[in-house]
Amino acid sequence: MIELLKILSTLAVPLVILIIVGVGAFKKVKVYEEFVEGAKEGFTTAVRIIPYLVAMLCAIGMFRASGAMDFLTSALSPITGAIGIPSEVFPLAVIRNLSGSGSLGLMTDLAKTYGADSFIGRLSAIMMGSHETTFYVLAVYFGSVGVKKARHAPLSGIFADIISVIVSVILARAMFL
Amino acid sequence: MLNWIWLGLIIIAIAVATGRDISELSQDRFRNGKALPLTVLATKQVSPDHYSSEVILLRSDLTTFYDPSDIRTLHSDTLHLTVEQTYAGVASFALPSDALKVWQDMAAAQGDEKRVTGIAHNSQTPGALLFTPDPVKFRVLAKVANDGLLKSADTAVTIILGLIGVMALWLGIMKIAEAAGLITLLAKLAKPLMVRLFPEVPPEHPAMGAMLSNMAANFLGLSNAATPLGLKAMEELNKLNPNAGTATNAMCMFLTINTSAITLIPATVIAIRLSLGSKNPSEIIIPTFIATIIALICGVMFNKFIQRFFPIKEAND
Repeated sequence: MIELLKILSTLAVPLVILIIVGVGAFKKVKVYEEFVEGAKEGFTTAVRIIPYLVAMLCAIGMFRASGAMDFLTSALSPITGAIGIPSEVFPLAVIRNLSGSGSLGLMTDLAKTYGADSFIGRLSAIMMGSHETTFYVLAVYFGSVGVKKARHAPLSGIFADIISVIVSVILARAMFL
Repeated sequence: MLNWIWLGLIIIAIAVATGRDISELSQDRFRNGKALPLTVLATKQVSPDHYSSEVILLRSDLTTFYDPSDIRTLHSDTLHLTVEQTYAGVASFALPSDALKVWQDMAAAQGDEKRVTGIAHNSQTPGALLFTPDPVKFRVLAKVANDGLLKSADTAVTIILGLIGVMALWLGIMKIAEAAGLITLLAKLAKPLMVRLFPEVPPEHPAMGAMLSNMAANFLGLSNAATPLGLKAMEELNKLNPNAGTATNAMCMFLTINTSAITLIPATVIAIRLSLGSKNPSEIIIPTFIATIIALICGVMFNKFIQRFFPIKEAND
């Protein structure tokens, strides 16, 4: 199983590129010229996102450096306890929306401290596997087209995140506890 | 909405940092200006201006000196330290392995995470050394400013610089796929679903194909391809946007789908579990998949439901 998955994830990128370029060549597309034409947009798009990403990462960075996380954890502990999230895992449920590298570090740390096959280790792995750094996506995607009024997107993104945390906990308790 | 989130993060950060700093100052957690008595075992002169002393510190001295909650991490009864003294009593010691939390915080605030610096002067008792650590004040606020603000601004640009090459690569590949008709094919296959999710987008519009290729990249775990393709999709969606600067319903739906993060194989997590000695690292695939599917369905329904409460004209945050 593991071997198969490893092979699959190693081969995904080369296969996708091979199929696309292969079909392109078969259909007599000028592959090189088309590639360069598309690639030109890479730089401008990336540079256009900088201000939005700086704004978002700075706010998140300040929040994390201040240690507000500990306060949030203890303030929300009655709620998280009620839905069965161990208090050790709760910071991960919040951080995973804010910072990809931060949550990866936290998940590794939890698995190391409590054991990869402990309940906490498994739950944090499920949470990490189903995570998306919502705020990064919001800043980058909206930033690239200059959207400043995000309307209901943050709310429904956060809603989806909360649902995924709750489902992760329910499944982990059912399967591993 | 983003305004409130942004403001909220910053205000909470500053409020918490100020609160912690004031509490540390009022309790004098770092015992600013007070001297720790050290017992010198041996001193050797390294250079004319540099003395290196082996000293010991008793647990009982520390418990009377610092707050009990700061001593909790200390396991041994005596601490052996090497104090390096240079000109005019400027001294420092490297943090021992089971360092006190208060020393770790002190060292980080003083600038070198592994050393505590201060002033050493000889005591009237022979063989004793008095060590006064440099005072630490408003360390949390300073950390928020340095680690939080300045480093993050730097990180943002590093991320973007790393993104440029990958962006160019995948946008180039995407262009080939477009010219080869693969994107149109994909869009045709998924049309029944896409028309329901994005009723405002014409079924044949290039935005559909771009969004689908982003979703496919996410699903296959090609995370560095997903961002460029997603941005391409946003650009196409923005062409249909009559109010520049305000998100359309389709954009919000697209982002909701993106944040629920459906992945076939969470490769990074499995790799970490494998490296930490899990007996069955891939056992989390199925629960992860179910969690993301349910999050996706709930997110999409919630999004459809609340979009009416955020009309475009009155959207002012």
